[in-house]
Amino acid sequence: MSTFVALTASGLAAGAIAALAAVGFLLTYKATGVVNFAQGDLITLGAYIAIWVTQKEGMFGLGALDLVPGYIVTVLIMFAIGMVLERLAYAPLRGRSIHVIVITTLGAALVLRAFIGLWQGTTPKFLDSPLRGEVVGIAGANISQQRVLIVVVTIVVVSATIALFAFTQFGRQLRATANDRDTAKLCGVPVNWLSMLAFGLSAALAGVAGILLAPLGSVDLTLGFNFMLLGFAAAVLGGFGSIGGVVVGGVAIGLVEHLFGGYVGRDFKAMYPFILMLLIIALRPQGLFTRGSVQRL
Amino acid sequence: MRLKRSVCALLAVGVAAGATAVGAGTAGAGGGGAPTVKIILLAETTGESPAAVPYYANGAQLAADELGSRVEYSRIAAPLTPAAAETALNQALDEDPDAIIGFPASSQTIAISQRIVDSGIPFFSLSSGEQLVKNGPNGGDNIFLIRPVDTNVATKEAEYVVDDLDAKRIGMLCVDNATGVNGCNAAREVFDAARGVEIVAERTNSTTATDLTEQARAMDGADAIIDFNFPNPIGVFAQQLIDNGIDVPHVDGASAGIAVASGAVTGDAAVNLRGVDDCVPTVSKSRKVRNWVSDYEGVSGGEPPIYSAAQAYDMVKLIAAAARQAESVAPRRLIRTIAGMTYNGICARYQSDDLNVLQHTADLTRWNAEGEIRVAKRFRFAPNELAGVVPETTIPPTTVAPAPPPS
Amino acid sequence: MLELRGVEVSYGAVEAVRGIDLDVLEGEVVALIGPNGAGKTSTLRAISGLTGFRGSIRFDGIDCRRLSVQGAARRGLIHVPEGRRVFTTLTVHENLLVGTTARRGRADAYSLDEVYELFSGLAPLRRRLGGALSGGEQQMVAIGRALVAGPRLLLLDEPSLGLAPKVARSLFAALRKIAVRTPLLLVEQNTVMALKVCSRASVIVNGRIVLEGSAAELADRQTLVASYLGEEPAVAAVTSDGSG
Repeated sequence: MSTFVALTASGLAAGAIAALAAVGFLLTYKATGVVNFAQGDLITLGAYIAIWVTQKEGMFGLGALDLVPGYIVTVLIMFAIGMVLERLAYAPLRGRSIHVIVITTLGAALVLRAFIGLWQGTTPKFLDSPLRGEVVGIAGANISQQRVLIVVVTIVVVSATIALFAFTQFGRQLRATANDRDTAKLCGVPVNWLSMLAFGLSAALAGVAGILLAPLGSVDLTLGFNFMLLGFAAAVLGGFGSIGGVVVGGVAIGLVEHLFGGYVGRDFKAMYPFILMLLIIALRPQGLFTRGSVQRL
Repeated sequence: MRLKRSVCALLAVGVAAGATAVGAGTAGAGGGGAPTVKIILLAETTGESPAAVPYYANGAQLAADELGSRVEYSRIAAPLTPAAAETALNQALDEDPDAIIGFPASSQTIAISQRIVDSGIPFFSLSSGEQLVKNGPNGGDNIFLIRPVDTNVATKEAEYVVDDLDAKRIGMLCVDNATGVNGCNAAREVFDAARGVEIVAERTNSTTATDLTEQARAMDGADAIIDFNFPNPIGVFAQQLIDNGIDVPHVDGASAGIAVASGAVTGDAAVNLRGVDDCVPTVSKSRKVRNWVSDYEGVSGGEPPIYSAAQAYDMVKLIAAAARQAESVAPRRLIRTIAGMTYNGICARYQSDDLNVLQHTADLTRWNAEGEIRVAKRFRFAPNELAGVVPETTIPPTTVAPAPPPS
Repeated sequence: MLELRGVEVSYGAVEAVRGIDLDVLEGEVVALIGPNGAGKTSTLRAISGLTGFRGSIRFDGIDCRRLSVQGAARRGLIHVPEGRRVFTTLTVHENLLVGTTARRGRADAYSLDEVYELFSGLAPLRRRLGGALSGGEQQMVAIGRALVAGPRLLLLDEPSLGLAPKVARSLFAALRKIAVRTPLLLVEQNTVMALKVCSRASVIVNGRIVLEGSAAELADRQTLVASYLGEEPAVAAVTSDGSG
């Protein structure tokens, strides 16, 4: 029983990070039609920025920030980086073929990774957490509090994002833009600004994911890549539709990986989320939670 | 008259020395009669790819700077893939080098080993896959392994677990690439042969794992854990062992030091952890090594060196010393000289054995709760020793390490 | 208020609009009528900035080239595009709320309640998704979305397209009410209905204006207008119920 509880907790935490990545994917996709494969490297960048602002010298030698203020500053910096990324990397490509855009996002990912390598080096680093080394006992299993924090923060952040989408003019404008960009313009919706904000929010979510993920181990340049893949799988499961759908997709991915991988064919654990994704693509290409048809490219 | 004779003798020596220098001039124009030796390093440095590390380039450059005109040193950025390695090697061969130091990943060297052997140029491998030894499937007279053979290190680690830790119930974790597979194969041979030793759990993980709950819990009941892994999973695993109440020694390779240095492993997790490095220059008591560490930090922007920086430095110096001793840079002469010489470097005392392995020691390291490192034991490898656990016909694919290659 | 001079629109080698002049004054309802492919929609798209053009388009004296699509909307130049184009994944109410984006403090904008009053059929559907509405309902939402933006000039592209005659009639009844407060530039194939709403009309064929005059004048010349539109005169004749 305790193993089941421990693996469920692991699955939920991994699913939560995948869900944050997936919501990031969804935000940019909704606003601009771009599936941003740089999302994983934005997660990595978020972790490194958090290390940068909380390290002894602090950013630009201004001194270290305490952890929580440092995290907040990191998310703000990531928001700004997302906006700049939209202007520099994606806005010039608007209207171009989807293949060009996909390659560009992969290119942006490599550029980001190389930039981090030049800036922070390739030696693994560590981001501290206020909950480091703390565990909570649930049904005989010791669950690290960082993993509990990951799930709690994800619930809060995703709920806030859902509320933002559903109940604010920004959310309505974003959904309108996703639905029909030209008509949104005719309604006066500032679609370019909205695209920047969507990229900003998406990068901020990547920052949150990086901050939550980093204290579990050490941070290197590959930190976010795997979660980008898991997030993409979660978004596919959710049919790139509603936030709720991709979040459920993320949790399903995490649970399949850790529960299935914890009991059956352990050596193939990392494959299970993608087997699930391929099954969904084959059997229900529009995703688990989206109605309607799909467009084949 | 006696004075005149002495002057004549001195003049004769001078003329002879001048003649030697002229003779050597065909091979180079170094000082003191030693020919200039052209050395190419095939390795990336920071910024050239996400996985690149600065140690090889910094170490080799430092040696070249010190040697001045005695070496003609250059570096070609060789991305960490076999295909890119071949391009880099061709580039290097076009420049007609006297010696090549290269390839941090064994997959690179193994993939083009025949081309290296055919070139006949002395090649100093920065990785030490068992296949690359002189008589191995991918070895050759001109391929020297700088480091102790990986599987020999794994065998020593396993013997340490059995003999020094006196562990009877052992847990094993193997990263799912050649590092883990070969390391665990070597360790398993030791455990299987030891009386009363039982492997209670054997698990694998991916190089990017961020959650090893299942693996950690599987180790419950083990007296000691042996782990062949990469830095990130080590950090995760060490902490999750403690989280799950598994407070036993945890032996790993070179990646352990990287994991602890990152800050990811502290407290009981750090105290339990053991690593193996080819050398740890930063804790050496030797004045020569301490000075070198200081010089290195001067060129690295303050980043302390690890074993690979010292080895790259040592190889440039060793090749220059061999050229001086051979008074030639002809490949056969250089190879013969290196095979017979002993060189005291920063990382180790290098002496080639029949397998063309140059280094025969490694340091077992431990840490305190604050992450301060110390060398707890020195492993010594007998010349020509080979674990022989990698089947010649089934060479496992070697995954490129994102950080300095683990043990 | 709106002034077009020598406006040309091309799509590659195809010239859709070949130098038209058109004015809409304060308080006017102007209809631009013509057959399929005449260049009506291209003219409206040029005015709102969705399509590039040559020549001059000025709205309230401002060169429209200097305005983005959104900028034109925020100045009150509101375009209801062909095919309704409601946001299908937003509810009726949310569609209207998005419409308020361009309002920019214009006090004379329709309130949401006024829209629900004008199109009483929408009130019970306010939580329904745009994609689940009938064509007529979608057209009401599209026009309502434009009204809440506080249009200073409303550009309507084929509002009756694809609607049942009865629905089209009720829509035009609403347009007559709207015309009291808001100037309109109405693009329509349904000549009869258009002429009933507008004060002036221009007939566009092959990208050129071939006939213009007051609604009454053009109504008197129905046969000529029908010939330009390639319609049978009998079809174009005004029937007693007003349908074409």
